[in-house]
Amino acid sequence: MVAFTGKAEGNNEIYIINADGSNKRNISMHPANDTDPVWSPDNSRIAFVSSRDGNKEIYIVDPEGNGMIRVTANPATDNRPVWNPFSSLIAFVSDRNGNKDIFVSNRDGSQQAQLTLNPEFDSKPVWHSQWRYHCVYK
Amino acid sequence: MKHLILLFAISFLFSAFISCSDNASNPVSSTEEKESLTVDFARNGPDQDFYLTLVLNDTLRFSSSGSNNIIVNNLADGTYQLSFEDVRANCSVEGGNLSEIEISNDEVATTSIAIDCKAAFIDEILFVRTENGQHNLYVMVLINNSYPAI
Repeated sequence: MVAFTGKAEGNNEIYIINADGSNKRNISMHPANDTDPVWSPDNSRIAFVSSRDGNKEIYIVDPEGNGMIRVTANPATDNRPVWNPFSSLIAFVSDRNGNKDIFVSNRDGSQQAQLTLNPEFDSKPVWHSQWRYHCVYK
Repeated sequence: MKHLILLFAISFLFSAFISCSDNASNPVSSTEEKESLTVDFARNGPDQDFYLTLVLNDTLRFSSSGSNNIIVNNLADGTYQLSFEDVRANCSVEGGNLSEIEISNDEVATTSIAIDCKAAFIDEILFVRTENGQHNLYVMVLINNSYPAI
Protein backbone atom coordinates (compact mmCIF):
# COMPACT_ATOMS: atom_id res chain seq x y z
CA MET A 1 0.00 0.00 0.00
CA VAL A 2 1.02 3.57 -0.61
CA ALA A 3 0.27 6.60 1.53
CA PHE A 4 0.20 10.02 -0.06
CA THR A 5 -1.19 13.54 0.27
CA GLY A 6 -4.01 14.38 -2.09
CA LYS A 7 -6.46 17.23 -2.71
CA ALA A 8 -9.29 15.23 -4.22
CA GLU A 9 -11.73 16.63 -1.67
CA GLY A 10 -10.58 20.24 -1.81
CA ASN A 11 -8.00 20.27 0.95
CA ASN A 12 -4.91 18.24 1.69
CA GLU A 13 -5.79 14.81 3.05
CA ILE A 14 -3.89 11.58 3.68
CA TYR A 15 -4.88 8.77 1.34
CA ILE A 16 -4.01 5.10 1.25
CA ILE A 17 -4.09 3.16 -1.98
CA ASN A 18 -3.15 -0.35 -2.98
CA ALA A 19 -0.05 -0.78 -5.10
CA ASP A 20 -2.28 -1.62 -8.10
CA GLY A 21 -4.20 1.64 -7.72
CA SER A 22 -7.29 0.10 -6.17
CA ASN A 23 -9.08 0.82 -2.92
CA LYS A 24 -8.14 4.44 -2.46
CA ARG A 25 -9.42 5.85 0.82
CA ASN A 26 -9.11 9.01 2.86
CA ILE A 27 -7.76 8.19 6.33
CA SER A 28 -7.38 11.70 7.75
CA MET A 29 -10.83 13.11 7.02
CA HIS A 30 -10.53 16.67 8.24
CA PRO A 31 -11.11 20.09 6.66
CA ALA A 32 -7.69 21.28 7.86
CA ASN A 33 -4.55 20.43 5.92
CA ASP A 34 -3.10 16.95 6.53
CA THR A 35 0.25 16.27 4.87
CA ASP A 36 3.55 14.38 4.92
CA PRO A 37 2.42 10.78 5.64
CA VAL A 38 5.16 8.38 6.77
CA TRP A 39 4.60 4.65 7.25
CA SER A 40 5.91 3.07 10.42
CA PRO A 41 8.44 0.34 9.60
CA ASP A 42 6.08 -2.30 11.01
CA ASN A 43 3.35 -0.98 8.64
CA SER A 44 0.89 -0.64 11.50
CA ARG A 45 0.69 3.16 11.66
CA ILE A 46 1.09 6.30 9.59
CA ALA A 47 2.51 9.47 11.05
CA PHE A 48 1.50 12.72 9.40
CA VAL A 49 1.32 16.46 9.93
CA SER A 50 -1.99 18.17 10.51
CA SER A 51 -3.12 21.74 11.21
CA ARG A 52 -6.46 20.62 12.62
CA ASP A 53 -5.69 22.08 16.02
CA GLY A 54 -4.58 25.47 14.73
CA ASN A 55 -0.96 24.82 13.85
CA LYS A 56 1.14 22.00 12.47
CA GLU A 57 1.30 19.02 14.81
CA ILE A 58 2.31 15.36 14.46
CA TYR A 59 -0.48 12.77 14.45
CA ILE A 60 -0.54 8.99 14.11
CA VAL A 61 -3.33 6.88 12.66
CA ASP A 62 -3.69 3.28 11.54
CA PRO A 63 -4.11 2.41 7.83
CA GLU A 64 -7.88 2.23 8.25
CA GLY A 65 -8.08 5.74 9.64
CA ASN A 66 -8.70 4.54 13.21
CA GLY A 67 -6.88 5.08 16.49
CA MET A 68 -5.85 8.68 15.83
CA ILE A 69 -3.24 9.92 18.32
CA ARG A 70 -1.92 13.45 18.63
CA VAL A 71 1.80 13.09 19.28
CA THR A 72 2.72 16.77 19.70
CA ALA A 73 0.71 19.53 21.34
CA ASN A 74 2.55 22.79 21.09
CA PRO A 75 1.82 26.29 19.79
CA ALA A 76 4.97 26.06 17.64
CA THR A 77 5.29 24.16 14.37
CA ASP A 78 6.03 20.43 14.64
CA ASN A 79 6.59 18.58 11.38
CA ARG A 80 8.88 16.24 9.39
CA PRO A 81 8.10 13.06 11.36
CA VAL A 82 10.36 10.02 10.92
CA TRP A 83 10.08 6.66 12.67
CA ASN A 84 12.78 4.71 14.38
CA PRO A 85 13.24 1.20 12.92
CA PHE A 86 11.20 -0.37 15.74
CA SER A 87 8.20 1.90 15.17
CA SER A 88 8.31 2.94 18.80
CA LEU A 89 9.74 6.45 18.52
CA ILE A 90 9.28 9.43 16.25
CA ALA A 91 11.83 12.12 15.55
CA PHE A 92 10.52 15.40 14.24
CA VAL A 93 11.41 19.03 13.68
CA SER A 94 10.03 21.70 15.96
CA ASP A 95 10.67 25.40 16.48
CA ARG A 96 9.10 25.36 19.94
CA ASN A 97 12.29 26.69 21.51
CA GLY A 98 12.85 29.53 19.08
CA ASN A 99 14.38 27.89 16.04
CA LYS A 100 14.17 24.58 14.24
CA ASP A 101 15.64 21.68 16.20
CA ILE A 102 15.29 17.91 16.18
CA PHE A 103 13.12 16.32 18.85
CA VAL A 104 12.14 12.77 19.69
CA SER A 105 8.99 11.33 21.22
CA ASN A 106 7.45 8.01 22.05
CA ARG A 107 4.77 7.20 19.52
CA ASP A 108 2.08 7.99 22.08
CA GLY A 109 3.49 11.49 22.57
CA SER A 110 5.15 10.78 25.91
CA GLN A 111 8.74 11.44 26.92
CA GLN A 112 9.57 14.10 24.39
CA ALA A 113 13.21 15.18 24.30
CA GLN A 114 15.20 17.76 22.39
CA LEU A 115 18.07 16.18 20.48
CA THR A 116 19.70 19.22 18.94
CA LEU A 117 20.19 22.54 20.65
CA ASN A 118 21.72 24.94 18.20
CA PRO A 119 20.98 28.47 17.02
CA GLU A 120 21.12 27.22 13.40
CA PHE A 121 18.17 25.50 11.70
CA ASP A 122 18.14 21.70 12.03
CA SER A 123 15.74 19.79 9.80
CA LYS A 124 15.07 16.74 7.62
CA PRO A 125 15.95 13.98 10.10
CA VAL A 126 16.58 10.44 8.87
CA TRP A 127 16.74 7.61 11.40
CA HIS A 128 18.99 4.57 11.29
CA SER A 129 19.62 2.08 14.11
CA GLN A 130 21.86 -0.90 14.65
CA TRP A 131 23.46 -3.08 17.27
CA ARG A 132 27.14 -2.29 17.45
CA TYR A 133 29.57 -4.94 18.66
CA HIS A 134 32.50 -2.66 19.30
CA CYS A 135 33.47 -1.11 22.57
CA VAL A 136 31.69 2.14 23.14
CA TYR A 137 33.46 4.88 25.00
CA LYS A 138 31.72 7.09 27.47
CA MET B 1 81.29 29.25 57.02
CA LYS B 2 79.79 30.01 53.59
CA HIS B 3 80.90 26.62 52.33
CA LEU B 4 79.38 24.92 55.34
CA ILE B 5 76.00 26.54 54.75
CA LEU B 6 76.12 25.64 51.04
CA LEU B 7 76.97 22.03 51.86
CA PHE B 8 74.11 21.88 54.33
CA ALA B 9 71.67 23.26 51.77
CA ILE B 10 72.75 20.75 49.12
CA SER B 11 72.43 17.89 51.60
CA PHE B 12 68.96 19.04 52.55
CA LEU B 13 67.80 19.20 48.92
CA PHE B 14 69.26 15.79 48.16
CA SER B 15 67.55 14.17 51.14
CA ALA B 16 64.25 15.79 50.15
CA PHE B 17 64.61 14.35 46.64
CA ILE B 18 65.24 10.86 48.02
CA SER B 19 62.24 11.21 50.29
CA CYS B 20 59.96 12.19 47.39
CA SER B 21 61.19 9.27 45.30
CA ASP B 22 60.38 6.86 48.09
CA ASN B 23 56.85 8.18 48.34
CA ALA B 24 56.27 7.71 44.64
CA SER B 25 57.28 4.06 44.71
CA ASN B 26 55.26 3.24 47.83
CA PRO B 27 51.66 4.23 47.23
CA VAL B 28 50.55 3.62 50.80
CA SER B 29 52.84 4.78 53.53
CA SER B 30 53.11 2.34 56.37
CA THR B 31 55.71 0.65 58.47
CA GLU B 32 54.57 -2.76 57.12
CA GLU B 33 54.25 -2.30 53.37
CA LYS B 34 54.45 -5.88 52.32
CA GLU B 35 50.98 -7.01 51.34
CA SER B 36 49.90 -7.67 47.79
CA LEU B 37 46.51 -7.46 46.16
CA THR B 38 45.60 -9.28 42.96
CA VAL B 39 42.40 -8.30 41.19
CA ASP B 40 41.35 -10.86 38.58
CA PHE B 41 38.93 -9.86 35.85
CA ALA B 42 36.30 -12.07 34.32
CA ARG B 43 35.00 -10.39 31.22
CA ASN B 44 31.59 -11.47 29.96
CA GLY B 45 29.55 -10.56 26.94
CA PRO B 46 30.02 -9.86 23.27
CA ASP B 47 31.73 -6.52 23.54
CA GLN B 48 34.34 -6.71 26.23
CA ASP B 49 36.18 -3.95 27.94
CA PHE B 50 39.90 -4.67 28.19
CA TYR B 51 41.11 -1.38 29.61
CA LEU B 52 40.10 -0.50 33.14
CA THR B 53 41.55 1.53 35.94
CA LEU B 54 41.45 0.09 39.43
CA VAL B 55 40.97 2.76 42.08
CA LEU B 56 41.86 2.03 45.70
CA ASN B 57 40.40 4.25 48.37
CA ASP B 58 39.57 6.90 45.77
CA THR B 59 43.22 7.87 45.46
CA LEU B 60 45.44 5.12 44.03
CA ARG B 61 45.01 4.22 40.38
CA PHE B 62 46.32 1.20 38.49
CA SER B 63 45.65 0.43 34.84
CA SER B 64 44.79 -3.08 33.66
CA SER B 65 46.59 -2.32 30.38
CA GLY B 66 44.44 -4.93 28.71
CA SER B 67 45.54 -7.84 30.92
CA ASN B 68 43.32 -10.13 32.96
CA ASN B 69 44.47 -8.92 36.32
CA ILE B 70 46.03 -6.08 38.22
CA ILE B 71 48.61 -6.76 40.92
CA VAL B 72 49.29 -4.11 43.51
CA ASN B 73 52.28 -4.55 45.81
CA ASN B 74 53.46 -2.80 48.95
CA LEU B 75 50.08 -2.25 50.47
CA ALA B 76 49.66 -1.61 54.14
CA ASP B 77 47.31 -3.74 56.22
CA GLY B 78 43.79 -2.47 56.25
CA THR B 79 40.47 -2.32 54.49
CA TYR B 80 40.48 -1.01 50.94
CA GLN B 81 37.64 0.23 48.80
CA LEU B 82 37.87 -0.98 45.23
CA SER B 83 36.19 0.75 42.32
CA PHE B 84 36.86 1.04 38.61
CA GLU B 85 37.21 3.97 36.27
CA ASP B 86 37.04 3.96 32.50
CA VAL B 87 34.35 1.28 32.41
CA ARG B 88 32.86 1.74 28.99
CA ALA B 89 29.28 2.72 28.48
CA ASN B 90 28.23 -0.74 27.35
CA CYS B 91 29.85 -2.49 30.32
CA SER B 92 29.13 -2.66 34.03
CA VAL B 93 30.77 -4.11 37.09
CA GLU B 94 28.78 -7.05 38.38
CA GLY B 95 27.49 -6.41 41.86
CA GLY B 96 28.17 -2.69 41.60
CA ASN B 97 31.25 -0.63 41.06
CA LEU B 98 32.35 -0.44 44.68
CA SER B 99 33.55 -3.23 46.91
CA GLU B 100 35.77 -3.68 49.92
CA ILE B 101 38.61 -6.01 50.65
CA GLU B 102 40.53 -6.47 53.82
CA ILE B 103 44.24 -7.11 53.64
CA SER B 104 45.97 -8.48 56.71
CA ASN B 105 49.41 -9.61 57.74
CA ASP B 106 51.52 -11.51 55.22
CA GLU B 107 48.58 -12.20 52.98
CA VAL B 108 48.46 -12.20 49.21
CA ALA B 109 44.88 -11.03 48.81
CA THR B 110 43.01 -11.96 45.67
CA THR B 111 39.62 -10.83 44.53
CA SER B 112 37.70 -11.50 41.34
CA ILE B 113 35.66 -8.89 39.55
CA ALA B 114 33.23 -9.65 36.73
CA ILE B 115 32.80 -7.06 34.01
CA ASP B 116 29.62 -7.63 32.03
CA CYS B 117 29.49 -6.08 28.60
CA LYS B 118 26.78 -6.03 26.02
CA ALA B 119 26.49 -4.82 22.50
CA ALA B 120 25.45 -1.22 22.37
CA PHE B 121 22.32 -0.17 20.57
CA ILE B 122 23.10 2.74 18.35
CA ASP B 123 20.60 5.20 16.97
CA GLU B 124 21.94 7.44 14.27
CA ILE B 125 19.86 10.38 13.17
CA LEU B 126 21.04 12.24 10.14
CA PHE B 127 19.80 15.77 9.67
CA VAL B 128 20.47 18.93 7.76
CA ARG B 129 21.79 21.97 9.57
CA THR B 130 21.56 25.29 7.76
CA GLU B 131 24.57 27.37 8.69
CA ASN B 132 25.12 30.78 7.13
CA GLY B 133 22.79 29.85 4.33
CA GLN B 134 24.64 26.61 3.63
CA HIS B 135 23.10 23.17 4.14
CA ASN B 136 25.38 20.76 5.97
CA LEU B 137 24.70 17.12 6.78
CA TYR B 138 25.14 16.04 10.38
CA VAL B 139 24.69 12.77 12.19
CA MET B 140 23.99 12.42 15.88
CA VAL B 141 24.66 9.14 17.63
CA LEU B 142 22.58 8.02 20.59
CA ILE B 143 23.80 5.05 22.61
CA ASN B 144 21.33 2.72 24.31
CA ASN B 145 18.42 5.14 24.02
CA SER B 146 20.28 7.79 25.93
CA TYR B 147 17.92 10.62 25.06
CA PRO B 148 18.17 13.76 27.10
CA ALA B 149 14.94 14.45 28.93
CA ILE B 150 13.25 17.79 28.56
